[in-house]
Amino acid sequence: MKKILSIMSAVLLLLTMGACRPESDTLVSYDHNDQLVFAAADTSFAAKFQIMWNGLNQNYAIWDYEAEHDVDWDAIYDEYYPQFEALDRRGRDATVTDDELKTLMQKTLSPLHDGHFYFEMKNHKTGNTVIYGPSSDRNASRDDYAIASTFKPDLTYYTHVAHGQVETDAEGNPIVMSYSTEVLGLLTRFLGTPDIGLQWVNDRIRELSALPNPTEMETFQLQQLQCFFQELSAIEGTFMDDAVDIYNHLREKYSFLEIPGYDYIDPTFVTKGITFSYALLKGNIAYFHVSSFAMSIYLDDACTQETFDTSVPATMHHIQQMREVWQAWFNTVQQLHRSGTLGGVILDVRSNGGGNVDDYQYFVGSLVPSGGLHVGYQRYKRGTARYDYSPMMDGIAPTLSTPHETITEPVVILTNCTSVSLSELSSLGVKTMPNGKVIGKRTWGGLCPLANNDLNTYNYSGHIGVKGETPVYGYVPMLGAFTLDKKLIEGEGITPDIEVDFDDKLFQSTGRDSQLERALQYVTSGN
Amino acid sequence: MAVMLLTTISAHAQWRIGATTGGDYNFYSWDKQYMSDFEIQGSTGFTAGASGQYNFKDWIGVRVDLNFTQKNYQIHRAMLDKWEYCYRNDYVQLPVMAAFSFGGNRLRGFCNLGFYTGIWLNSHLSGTDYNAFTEQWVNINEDVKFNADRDNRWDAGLLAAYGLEYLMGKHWAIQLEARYYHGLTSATRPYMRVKDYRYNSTLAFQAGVYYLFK
Repeated sequence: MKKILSIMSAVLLLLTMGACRPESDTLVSYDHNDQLVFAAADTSFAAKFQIMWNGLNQNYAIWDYEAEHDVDWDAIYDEYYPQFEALDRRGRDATVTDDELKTLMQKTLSPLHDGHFYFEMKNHKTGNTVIYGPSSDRNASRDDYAIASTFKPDLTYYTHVAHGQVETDAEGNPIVMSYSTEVLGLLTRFLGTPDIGLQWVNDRIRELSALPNPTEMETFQLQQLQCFFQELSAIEGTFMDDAVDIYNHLREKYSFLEIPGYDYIDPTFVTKGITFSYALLKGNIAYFHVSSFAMSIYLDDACTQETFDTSVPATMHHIQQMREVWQAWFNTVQQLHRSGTLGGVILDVRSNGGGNVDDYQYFVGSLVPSGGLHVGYQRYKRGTARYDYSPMMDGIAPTLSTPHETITEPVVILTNCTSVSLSELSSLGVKTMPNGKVIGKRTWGGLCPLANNDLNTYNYSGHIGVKGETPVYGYVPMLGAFTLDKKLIEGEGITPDIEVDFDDKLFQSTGRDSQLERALQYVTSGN
Repeated sequence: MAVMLLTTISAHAQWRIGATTGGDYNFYSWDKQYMSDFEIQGSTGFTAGASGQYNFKDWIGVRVDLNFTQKNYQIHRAMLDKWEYCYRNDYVQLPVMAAFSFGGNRLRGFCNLGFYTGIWLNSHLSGTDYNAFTEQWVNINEDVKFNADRDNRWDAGLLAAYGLEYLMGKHWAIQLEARYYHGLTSATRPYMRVKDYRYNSTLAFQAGVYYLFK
């Protein structure tokens, strides 16, 4: 009996103690517009904060990196959640300004280093959407930011034959090509080019107004031109997408006026309009600049078909022009390398904010062997806890799959502090090349790539909320991107091999580019 | 329980030492939250160790083991057939238990109840993952580096065991034992304000050989 009692009491004791397994908190997914998840945030600042904080806690891919930088995400919750709560306690009729909300968002998010992410919060008191991303603030404090933020490469000085910096063709013309589908440029062309567009309209209005005895048709035409001019003025001060809508609408409405040069502008150019510039500089140095990485939609037939209305001649004309510039650069590099006369290649990603990773094959990827270029490592979130990560996986950038030469001559990539994302991945690629050099200024520090929400199902990370729909939206990278030596440089950027300040005074007064000239010096002398 | 044990001490005290070996099956409890296609599955492992027991009477004693036990588990994904994480986790454990036995002179049953403590020695991950960015499947086979903030390397919990013992002669005995380790310490430390606990529950089947000092 005693034995049985002893065993029974031991079993009971163990059972009691065995119940001591606390449960985990219940978490929710923020990747879609779930009414239950986001409802409270429609009318509560505290709820908005909870979504932002928890969404990042679950999705952000580089928490270990932040810990190395002494970021205490829990302490940030303890400090700022009460401040968001305090906004709710002001009462239903009290206001909360957009500036107040932005200041709190800034304080919460500014310690984080990711170079891409930003958050939007709908201020339910004002009806406005407040946006904040820490990387802009961080880079705005850099000494080269002011110049870099407005800089656009300009080769005018170097492509002037008299300056002797450019190769010429058989007719003595400089070998230079450039084309742009940037909407501002297309609109400016329409508005400011003599004998076409608005200039033609103004000339025609003057002509018709000066007629002493206009015919009925001429009177009608004058009236319509004046109406068109008035309606076109609505473009001023609008956002680019609205300007294009007005432009295209008026084009259709006033088509009977047959205004020369009044070509349709595909609305896709608002976000995907870019500039290609190619020049063959002295010493057979092939220079290529792309303003933003949206190359594939111009260079790949399938992407072009998916992106544009290819039945529109004006659109296809633009696309063809862009293709010709890239092809000219690529063909020149290939031919000169084959003949042993290529001096080098200069790729210019200054002020290039990044874009589609598929473009890599047309850029750095067209200078290296097919099969992909190993530029670093990638790591994904694999759980809802902060440190749930996948192992490191090879980060392979796409290279051109069609047969092409591997360039062994010097390759330089020019960078500045507004070289972001794919511009930085391109710089990493050039660093892997034995003949590659990064010249200029340290880049932005935004290597962790983003993707659309459809890849969330693979990774349970990425966007928080749905842009324009949920009261909180976070544009958050879904993975951590590491260098080849497995280091994160998010928020720091790529340090150039040769650091060169941009001499803006020299550029403004003479058109000379100090960073480009240093690149030319390196390519020609090896130093 | 301690009082009852003390009141039963008598002149039938007996020492024994032995060795055990066997296999185990570990269940890993992890709240996967909204990751609905994650399937966390148990996995088999190996256990072996040494044992010492002091019997106060023929039916009750105290047993202390020192063993190597693997607490492995796997994660699969219902929507991605090839995706697989297989964790192999090696522990050294010190189970301490009250040993109750009953039955005849040769063939006896036993029941052990107690607690264990241990240390998580190392972890290894093998399997396949998918890089959505490069659209490549990736093979994995690497040691997992411990994260001092995240990983709780100290392991402790309760155990219960049942088995059969056969006495061969005066000094030797063999045992077959089924033992359950119920982890009470989470494998993850509380490094976030969000609570996230992960537990091991391990079922071991082992055989043992003992030398009885008489």
